[in-house]
Amino acid sequence: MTLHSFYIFDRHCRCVYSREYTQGSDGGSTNRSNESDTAKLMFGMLYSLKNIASKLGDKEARNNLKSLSTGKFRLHLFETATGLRFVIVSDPAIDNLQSVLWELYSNYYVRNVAQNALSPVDFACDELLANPKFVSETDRFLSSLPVFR
Amino acid sequence: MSKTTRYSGDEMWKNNVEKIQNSELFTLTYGSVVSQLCRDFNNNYQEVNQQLDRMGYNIGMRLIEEFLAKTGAQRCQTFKETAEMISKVGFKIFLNIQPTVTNWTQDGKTFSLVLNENPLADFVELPMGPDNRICRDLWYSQVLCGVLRGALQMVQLDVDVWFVKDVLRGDDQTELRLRLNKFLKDEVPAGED
Repeated sequence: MTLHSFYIFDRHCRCVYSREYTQGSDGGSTNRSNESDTAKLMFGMLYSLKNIASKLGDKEARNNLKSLSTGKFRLHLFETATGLRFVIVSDPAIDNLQSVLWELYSNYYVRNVAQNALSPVDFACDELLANPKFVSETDRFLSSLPVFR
Repeated sequence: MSKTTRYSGDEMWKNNVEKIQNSELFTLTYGSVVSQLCRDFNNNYQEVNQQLDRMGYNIGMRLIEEFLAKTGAQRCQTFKETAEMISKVGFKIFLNIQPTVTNWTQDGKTFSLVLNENPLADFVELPMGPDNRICRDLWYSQVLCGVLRGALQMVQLDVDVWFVKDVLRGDDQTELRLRLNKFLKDEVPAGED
């Protein structure tokens, strides 16, 4: 079981954080593929699927998109009421990462970004989330999970 | 109140909130910010109100994330629900007060929050000058309006917030009003509209 990558999209639909984990010693890459077609297409697909999901059934019952899988990958999505989207790409065998995504938001994002007065929260069009403490703490958290490798 | 909230505001205040050990420090810090602004803007109180509002807005944009993280709240379905959430959960967990929601307009878009106590204004008396201008012009706790405006905008509610009464000015109660202008639409990715 493996976690491949982790993305955060802001409420302006921009990828403000992208982190790829490679199974080697180099530790992967950070904020390299924010503008990549993969990130954009993935966001567009999740966006459309989420809209379809919310149109199924009546309005009262929240029908949130949580994950979707392909032959070799599974995408996990968590969206906050403020429109931030946290996405993890994993092995298809991992079926639920909602609590992990919630932890990334409610603990790591809130403490290192929202409560960090000098970090932007509403990212301008060329700003990225590059706060070193956020990167190292989320790396440590994710790599400590049994599903990481 | 929304059923999706994990705890009541009361329980959260007791168990889940880091409290400032010395709330006087908080009150006095806010007071010195206001008085410094009055000096910086040469007692132009309208300008001071605006600055406080702007500061509050920036706080609100961040505070909403902490609020959501603590409560696990989802977006409210109606503005009535929002009002309850602000009073019973928001004010409760951040200031340990529970303002009364009242004076709804017919269209359900404007309501008042009556603050029975105001931790920002403990110990404060507005100085009486010869012309009493400060009592006419300064809204001492204007930062709260900005906080509400900023926080609500992040959950796609465009609101105006303003004070109509303040006991500091000699009014019978402290009252602020919220008016919903519109529900903002979530942004769509480029090329999707």
